[in-house]
Amino acid sequence: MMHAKHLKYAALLIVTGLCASTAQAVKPATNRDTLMEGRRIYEQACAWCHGIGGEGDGPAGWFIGRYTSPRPRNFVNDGYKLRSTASGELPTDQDLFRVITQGIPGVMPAYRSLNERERWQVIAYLKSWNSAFEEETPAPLTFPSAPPGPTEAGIQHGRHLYVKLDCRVCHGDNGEGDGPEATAGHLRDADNLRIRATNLTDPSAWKNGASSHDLLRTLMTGLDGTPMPSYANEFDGQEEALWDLVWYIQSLSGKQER
Amino acid sequence: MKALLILATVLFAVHDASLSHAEPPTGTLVGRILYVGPAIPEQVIEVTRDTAFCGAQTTHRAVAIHSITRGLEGAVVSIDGIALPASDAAMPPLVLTNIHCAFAPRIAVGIVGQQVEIRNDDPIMHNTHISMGPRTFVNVAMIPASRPVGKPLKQPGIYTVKCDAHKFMQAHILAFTHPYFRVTDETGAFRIPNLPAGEHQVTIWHDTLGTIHQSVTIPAQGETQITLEYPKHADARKQ
Repeated sequence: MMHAKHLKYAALLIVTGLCASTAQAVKPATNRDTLMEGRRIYEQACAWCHGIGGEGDGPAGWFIGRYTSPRPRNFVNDGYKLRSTASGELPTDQDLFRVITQGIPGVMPAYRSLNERERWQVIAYLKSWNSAFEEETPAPLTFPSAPPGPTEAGIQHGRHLYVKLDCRVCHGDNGEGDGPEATAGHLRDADNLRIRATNLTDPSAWKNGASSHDLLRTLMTGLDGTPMPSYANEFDGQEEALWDLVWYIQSLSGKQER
Repeated sequence: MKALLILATVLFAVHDASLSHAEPPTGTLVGRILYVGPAIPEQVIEVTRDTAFCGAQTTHRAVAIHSITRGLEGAVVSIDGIALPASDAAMPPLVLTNIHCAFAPRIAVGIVGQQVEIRNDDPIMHNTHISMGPRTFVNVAMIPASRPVGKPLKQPGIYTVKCDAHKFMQAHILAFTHPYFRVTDETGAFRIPNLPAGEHQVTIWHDTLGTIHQSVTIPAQGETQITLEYPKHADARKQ
């Protein structure tokens, strides 16, 4: 009995130690070894879609994105949709890490199977294709912290903003992605491929994450390469209103995930 | 005697300084860009959104030709191969206004580092989306009476400007690393002053007709005049 108990504690210690060591895995310096290892991982895990040279033209990606959006990201010269930075800016390393870790619903799997160090190595490698990463220093926007929680009045105000800001024109009156611009096929991405407006009643499909903070980030940064603009300017100094819009959009699915 | 020596030294120093700070000789390039090819008819575009304000239709005049001079309006004339270090001098913003469901100006030119200032003077929402190639420069929602959005031009080249809310709205921004560029006026004329003397390659860009080039020699002072004509056939023009 004692033996079993000791084994349990030992196992717990090992698991705790493993978690701690993973959490402590530091971002490696960008050097030759990091890039070589990043390349090895990339070619195993990413090249099938993104291409051996990072141009979004991997054998699977060629079929996936030839006629429909989104195409796999071209790491050589594309911009980036999913960021914490202002419209037109590069993503931070943490943004890239988040996307690789969480994946993109319906588009790209989560790569939690790679340990943290491996994810950082692959980030260093894919950044090496784009010289803009050497010239620019992307910085995240300042995101307002959440107020205590949604109120009925706030949600109503959010609805008012949803109409005023023309969200309904793409996402539809009820957020089902069936606004007139979307149904008319007017929405195009940077490759001029037709894209759908996000169905706001189905958070599981939101590419930039479904938490309230993810939603707020999307509203502030926009999604570069798509018609979704940044609303950061409109809400500058009106953080409470921005949160009202977030609460309203979340209310469309009946989920108020924080 | 000592005073004379000091005076001579000071005069020599002033003379030497004036020589070392002498501006290099410059001239002016003046000219006109012509288009004598087949007429390109105005394009009528159906407006699908905000028709109460924008109207049910809009026309796009791809090539604007002066009836007398045959001059081409809205071509960008620039000098190649000159890269000046970034200036600390304050530059006025390059204002791009959404007005009457169009961008004004439709062709904007600026220097890298210069602030692009986006405005919306319309009572409807616009969505100003500026890109260079596949990369977005900025994509911002512009509600009526919103404050201007500013962002400095990052790199030289051609930026495309569109409004995702109103597809018929289009413009271009051309950014350079020097001040030697002009947009032709309604008669097709342009004037670029203060050009360093010597041989230069001139590039003319038009959003519909494409790009042509011409070599010029700028004298140490005075003007050089050129008249350039876009080839009649599209195949002869380079994009």
